[in-house]
Amino acid sequence: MRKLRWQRTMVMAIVSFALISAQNVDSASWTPELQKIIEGAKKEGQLRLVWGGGSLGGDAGVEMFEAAMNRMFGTKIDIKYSPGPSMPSMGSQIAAEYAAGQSSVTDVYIAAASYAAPLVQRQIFHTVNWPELLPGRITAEMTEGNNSALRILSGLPGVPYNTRRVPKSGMPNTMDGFLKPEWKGKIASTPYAAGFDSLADKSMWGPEKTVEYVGKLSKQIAGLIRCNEIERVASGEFLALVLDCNGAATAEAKLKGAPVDLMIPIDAAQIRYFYLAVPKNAENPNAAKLFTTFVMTKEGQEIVWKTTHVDLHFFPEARTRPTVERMKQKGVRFFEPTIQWSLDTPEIDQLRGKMAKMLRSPK
Amino acid sequence: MLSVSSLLQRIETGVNRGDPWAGLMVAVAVLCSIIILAPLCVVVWLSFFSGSPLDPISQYSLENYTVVFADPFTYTVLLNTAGFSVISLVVAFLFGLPAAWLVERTDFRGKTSLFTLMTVGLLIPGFAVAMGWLFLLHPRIGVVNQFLQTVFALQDAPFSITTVWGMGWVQGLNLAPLAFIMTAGVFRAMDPTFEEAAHASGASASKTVFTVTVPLVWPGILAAAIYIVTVGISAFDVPAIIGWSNRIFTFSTYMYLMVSPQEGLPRYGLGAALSVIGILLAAALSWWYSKVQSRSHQYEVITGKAYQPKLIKLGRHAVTAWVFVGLYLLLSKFIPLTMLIWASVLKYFEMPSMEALTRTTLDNYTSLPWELVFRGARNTAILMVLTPTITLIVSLIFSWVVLRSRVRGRAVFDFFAFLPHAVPNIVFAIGAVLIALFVLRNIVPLYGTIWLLLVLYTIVRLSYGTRMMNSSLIQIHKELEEAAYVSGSDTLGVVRRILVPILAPPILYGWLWVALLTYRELTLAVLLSRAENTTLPVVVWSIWLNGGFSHASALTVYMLAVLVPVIGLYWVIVRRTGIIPTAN
Repeated sequence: MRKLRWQRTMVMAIVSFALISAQNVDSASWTPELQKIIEGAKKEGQLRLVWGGGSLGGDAGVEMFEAAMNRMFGTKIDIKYSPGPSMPSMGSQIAAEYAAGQSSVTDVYIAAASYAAPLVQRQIFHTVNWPELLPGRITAEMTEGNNSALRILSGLPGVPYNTRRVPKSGMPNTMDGFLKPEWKGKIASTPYAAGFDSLADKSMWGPEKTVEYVGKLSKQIAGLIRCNEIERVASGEFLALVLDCNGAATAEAKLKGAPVDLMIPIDAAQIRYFYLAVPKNAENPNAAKLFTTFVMTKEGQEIVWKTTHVDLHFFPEARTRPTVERMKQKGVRFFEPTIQWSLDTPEIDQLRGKMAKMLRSPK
Repeated sequence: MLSVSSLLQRIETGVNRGDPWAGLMVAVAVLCSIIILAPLCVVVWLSFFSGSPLDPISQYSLENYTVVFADPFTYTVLLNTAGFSVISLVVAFLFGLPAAWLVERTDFRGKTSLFTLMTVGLLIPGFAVAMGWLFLLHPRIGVVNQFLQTVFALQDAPFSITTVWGMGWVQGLNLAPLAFIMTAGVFRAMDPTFEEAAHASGASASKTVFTVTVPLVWPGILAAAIYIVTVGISAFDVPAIIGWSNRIFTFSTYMYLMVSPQEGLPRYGLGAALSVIGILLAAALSWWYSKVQSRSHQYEVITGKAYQPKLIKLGRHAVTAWVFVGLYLLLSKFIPLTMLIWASVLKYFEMPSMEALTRTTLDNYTSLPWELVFRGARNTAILMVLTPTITLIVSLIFSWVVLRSRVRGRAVFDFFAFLPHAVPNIVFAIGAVLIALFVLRNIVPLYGTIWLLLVLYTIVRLSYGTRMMNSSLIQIHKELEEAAYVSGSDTLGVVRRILVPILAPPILYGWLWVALLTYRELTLAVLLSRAENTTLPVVVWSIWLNGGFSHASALTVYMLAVLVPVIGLYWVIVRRTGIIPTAN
């Protein structure tokens, strides 16, 4: 009887322990480095995020991240989000604050390669051994800039178009198709020549062909819109946008029922990464590192997909992965503009400004 | 018995008599002038600085000027800006001036409604109005164009809003309330003696208006014209929505591209070099305005004698007045508001149709980022109360120093007060941010706080406040104040007991308008926005900028709905205090 009671007590203790542990099931598997960051984040208790509303779902996305991250790590971090300016403006602001000895406006910086590169060059970000925080999940190929920036999603830029006014069969599958007379005065491009910097690389079109194309495109387009102004394509104001940033805005509009779709040109295919980095002058560096780490977990990537409709294609469960694999099997060659590529090709940076200027001028 | 010399001594304004209050007012004007000049000095310094100020390899050179002035595109931009500003002025006066005259000088029965319409009109954000007109008269998707092309089998769209003319039209409609408010006070305070004399001599109403009324209010009209032209130069919303996407750039949008580029780090130096043009233009416009002021005594009609404004009877012309009001209502309010509400009930924007009607939803109203909205609303409310209060106090001080004191070189204060208006807010904000970051960081921690916004908003609105005060103070003859000085009053007493009561109508107008301009202020707030000081317009703009036009429209409708009762309350108060004369 006494033995039976003791056994029952042991079973109850084990079950209780399992139930308690289930709430924080991964805590036992956190590395010491990550555990240190979690403790630091708990002391900080808050995180300030400032980026454009279209990045990671803006306010709604941050709410999802906050709840899931706190649940996973057992923290109570209060994330305060504010809409911010464009990525290069944000980067400039962070750099200015760093130089002035002020805390940065945001604890985490999100940017594409060409915007993050100047700040990486100025060593403004914390260097973190990200693979050590989530071994087996974060690998070396996901980090750049000497571990100062972490890839979090793989955008697939293309040409969003209005499906009501343009049938799929009527859409060209190469960039040259948009130079034909039937498109004149009906399409748009971006004021920052999105995507054309990658085409200027020698392994793609090269600088001369790209500049020549942009010059011809400038005479074709009716105007300039930003990547996330897909409503202007959906309304029919412009029949297509040549080229967009990462396809995310199109996917989101399509889910809302907008008559848009995305065509990825086979001669201009790119994988455009977005990065997260923690400025050295962040007010809450541990919370920032913890947030960045969380984005790379399965749950975090699920929220990335929900908010942007793209994720990091390196992961086996990534929904962007089949699209990339399928296109590769068809012989499409993807160019990947990385931070290192941006730093190694300063002439492309100047070319980007030249092409943006060409698109701005109708002559 | 006082001697003539001692009487004259008493009449002399306080500064010369050692009046501490007068000295304090001058000191405030000097301090504010320094605060205005500091960011401008940073702008000029930046113009000689190639690259980024943070880059150790940057150096001083004239490269920015060479790049800007050697680029033919710069001149295209300047030409677009000139055309846009002039057309905006013409359209603003086309509607604003007659409206001000109808409200203040006639027995028009709808004046209270017209006044309210003009006031409410300023609430609608510029980008909302621009989008409304874009989908009305866009050459490819404009509803009017599509209808006309279908009915008359036209190949090309007959109208296009995507031109400098179209942009000027929309901006002019936006600025008509400003033209109204800047001239309404002047019309109201005018002594009708000269008009009565004209009537008694047999002059018709129209002849009286053009030969008597307009010349008398000319300084006020000129002040409004100068202000509206400079608003056109600095305008961002309408050129960004209509012009930018159709590759028509004006000063502001081109500047924005330079300081907030999408490729590489911002080149503040190029924007600063371009802004020097704005500073020079501001200097020219201020000089012109000061010339008008120097002849101001010719236009003084408010004297120590009692006066009662007499209203002109419209008679059968009242019908014309109503048609005018109805047309303005349709073009400036009904159409853009309708498009705004339409956009707010859609999942994605589409042309109005029976089919689209079946896809309407109220989700956009319930799924807003509420924590962010309330944070923005709180900051906006604080700024809406403090900015106009401080602006008008400082504006009165500036105007008094310029028009009443005998401080040597006092005209330069007026020049300083006008400068922030002429310099595009974008670069002015950059200068202020760099000062707060690098200069004041250990002295006064303004960076990232709402107080930096308050300082900037006040500085930027100072030009409006001083124009209002100047054009009203011009109309007050000095004999009233001289009588007070002779009676032993000091400067504070003169200001408190003489000037403020007389200036109460324009002060009230000015307070409301600065509050409304603060309510919708966007450019400064966007550049200075941090978690702690984000404002409601920034929340709206950010949502719109990231493709959420329907959500942005819903939030804008909320903003309008919240403020309409406030406007209604103001309308009741000003009616009771007699600011708006009722119809006879």
